[in-house]
Amino acid sequence: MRMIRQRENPVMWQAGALSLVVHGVFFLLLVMTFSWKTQPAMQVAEVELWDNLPVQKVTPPPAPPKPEPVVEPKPEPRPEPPPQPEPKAEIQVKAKPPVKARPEPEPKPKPKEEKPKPDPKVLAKKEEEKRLEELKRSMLAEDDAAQIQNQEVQQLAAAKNAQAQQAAALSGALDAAKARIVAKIKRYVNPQVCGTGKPVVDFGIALMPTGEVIGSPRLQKSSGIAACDQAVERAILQAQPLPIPKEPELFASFRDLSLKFRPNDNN
Amino acid sequence: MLKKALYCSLIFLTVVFGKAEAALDIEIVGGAAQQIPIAVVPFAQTVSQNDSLAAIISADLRRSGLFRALETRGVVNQPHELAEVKFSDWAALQAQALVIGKVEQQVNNRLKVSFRLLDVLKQSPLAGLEYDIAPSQLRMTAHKIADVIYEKMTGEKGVFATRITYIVKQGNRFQLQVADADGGNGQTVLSSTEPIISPSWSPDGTKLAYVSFEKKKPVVYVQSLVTGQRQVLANFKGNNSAPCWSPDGSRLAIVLTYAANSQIYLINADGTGLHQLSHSSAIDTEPEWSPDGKWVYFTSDRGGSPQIYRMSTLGGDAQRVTFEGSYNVSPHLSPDGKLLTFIRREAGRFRVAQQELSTGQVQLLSDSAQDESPSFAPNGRMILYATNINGRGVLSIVSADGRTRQRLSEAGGDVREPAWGPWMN
Repeated sequence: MRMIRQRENPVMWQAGALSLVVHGVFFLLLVMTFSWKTQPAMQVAEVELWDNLPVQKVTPPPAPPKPEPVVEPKPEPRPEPPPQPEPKAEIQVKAKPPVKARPEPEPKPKPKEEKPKPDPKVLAKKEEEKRLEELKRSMLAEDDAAQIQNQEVQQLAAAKNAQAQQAAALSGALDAAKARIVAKIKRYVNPQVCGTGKPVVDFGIALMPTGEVIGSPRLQKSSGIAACDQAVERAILQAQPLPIPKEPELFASFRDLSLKFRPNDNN
Repeated sequence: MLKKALYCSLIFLTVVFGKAEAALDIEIVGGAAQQIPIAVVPFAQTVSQNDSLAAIISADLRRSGLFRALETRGVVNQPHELAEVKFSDWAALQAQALVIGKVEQQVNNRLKVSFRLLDVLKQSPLAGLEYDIAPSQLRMTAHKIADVIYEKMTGEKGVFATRITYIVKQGNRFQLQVADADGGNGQTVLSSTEPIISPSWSPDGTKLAYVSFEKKKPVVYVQSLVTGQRQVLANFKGNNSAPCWSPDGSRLAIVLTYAANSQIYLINADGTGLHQLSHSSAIDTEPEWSPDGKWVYFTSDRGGSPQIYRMSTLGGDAQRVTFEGSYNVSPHLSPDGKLLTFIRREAGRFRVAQQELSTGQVQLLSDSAQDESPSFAPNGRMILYATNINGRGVLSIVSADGRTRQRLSEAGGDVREPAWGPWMN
C-alpha cells in the first residue's frame, strides 16, 4: 500500500505539474499571440481601412431620414458605423483576433456597394402594404431614390475631399514625426570624430512602441571611419526613447527605420 | 507537444513580423554634439598617492576639446570593478563612456594600475589595461590611460603621454624644463643665470637642441635627456641661434650671423657639414622643417615686413607663404604638413594664427595679445603656445579648430618659448 501510494503520489504530482506547465504555456501563448496580433493587425489592416473609411461615412446620413418608418432592422447596422472616425484603429485590431468583431466590419463593405439597392427594397415592402398606390409609390420612390443618389454623390465627393485632407494631414503628421526624430538624434551626433571628408553612415533600427531600440542598431553602410560609425551608433542609442508618433496608424510606419547620416554636411 | 507548440508559435511570430513594412528612410544631416560625454570615476587608490588619476585623465580628455568630462560625485555608487557598475546610473548622467580603475600596492614598492573603459549605452567593455609601475610613473600612467581612451573613442592617437619643453625664468635664473603635456611634473634639464632660448626636440624625443648665453654669446647646444650629456653643436663667429631638427634627425637648420646678416644654414647632427641655405641681404631666421623634409619654412623681412617664406632644402629661390597682414612670424607646421601655425601681429596684438597651406585661408586661434612660439601636438589636434598674463608668460593650449582654449597649470615664474615634443616609441 505504502509503496503504491508513494509511487502514485509522485506520478500524480508530476502529471499535475506537467498539465499545469502545459496549460501555463498555452495561456502564455494565448496572451502573447493575442497581444502581438493586435499590433501587426493595426498595420496590416491600415491599408484596407484607408479605402473603406470614407465610404462608410457616406452611409450613415442617408439611412436615418428614410428608413425610420419602415425598415428598422437594416438601419441599425448602419447607425453603428457612424462612430467610424475612431474605429479606424479598433476595427483593425478586431479584424483578426476576436471572432465577434468580424461581423461588424464585414457588413460594412457590402452595404456600401449596395447602398442604392436598399432603397428599392424599402419601396418593395411599402408596395406590399399599399398595393393601390403602387405606381405613385414607385414614382415617388424613384424620385426619392434620385434625390438620395444625388445626396450620396455629393456626400461621396465630400468624403473624397475629406479623405484627401486626411491623407494630407497624415502625411503632414508623418513628416512632423520624422522631423522630431531627426532633431532628437541630431542633438547627439558628434561630427568631430568623423574626419574631414563627407562620410555617409547608414544604420537600421527596429523600434518598440515606447521608442526604444530593439536590440542594437544594424550598421548598413560604414563611413569607413570606425570611430565615426561608433559615434553615430552612440547618438542613436543616447537619443532613446525616440519621439515616435503615438497614433497607431502612424507608428506602424516607424517600427523599422533606416537612418542615413551625413555628419559633416550642413543643412 | 510543448516543442511543437513553441515551434508553431515561432512560425506564427515570424510570419506576423515578416509582414512588417519596408523601413522608413530618415536622413540626418550634420550633428550638434561637439564633445563625447565621459565619466571617469575616481580610482580606488590609497591616500599616500597624491595625484588623482581620475582627475588627471579627466583634465587630459577635457583639454583635447573632444570630451566633456562629467562630474561623478553625485553618483552614490562609485564602482571600481566591472561587477560593481550600474550602467543606468551613468546613462542617467548622460555619459556615453565610463572609466573605472584602481591602484594597488605591490611588493617591492611597485604599483599595479588597472582600468576599464566601458560603453554605457551598449553596456559593454571597450578597453582595459594593467600597468606595473614605479610610484613616480603614476602621472605618466594616467596620461597613457587617457591616450588609450582618446584613441578608442576618436580613432586618433592621443598626445597626453607626450612631453613639452619650455624656458622658465624665476628670479634671475633661467631654466630649461621638460614636463608632461599637461604642464605637470616639470623637470629642470638645465639651469643658468644667463638666458636660455629656442629649445627644439629631436624627432625621437631623446634630445633637445637649444641656445644658451652662458658663454656671453648665443651658442647652440644639443643635450641628451637620457644621459644628461650635452655638446656644442654650433659655436661659430657671431650669433648661433634658432636650431631645428630635420624630420629624420640627421641634420639641423640653424641661424648664423657668420658672414654678415642672419642667414639659415644646415648642419649635420654631429656638428659637421655646415653649409649656407639662404642667401639674402635681409634677416632670415626661425627655420622650420616641413614634415616631409623637403622644405624649410622661415621668417624673413626681405619684402619689407616680417613674413613667412619657404625654400627647398636643396636651395633655390624662396617662396612667400603668408600674404595677409604686415607681421607674420614663428612658423610651425602640422604633422600632416597641411597647416601652418604662426604669430600674427594685428592692431598691436600678437595672436596665434593658422593657415591652410592649400587655400591660404587664415584663422586666428587665440584671443590674447602677447602670444608666442606656437607648436602643434604630434596628432595635430592642439597647439601649444605661450601667452602673457599680468606680465608673466603662461603656457596655453588651443584646439586646432580654435574652439577650446585652456591655460596649463604651471609651477610659477615667467614661462617662454614652449615646444611640443614628439610621440615616444
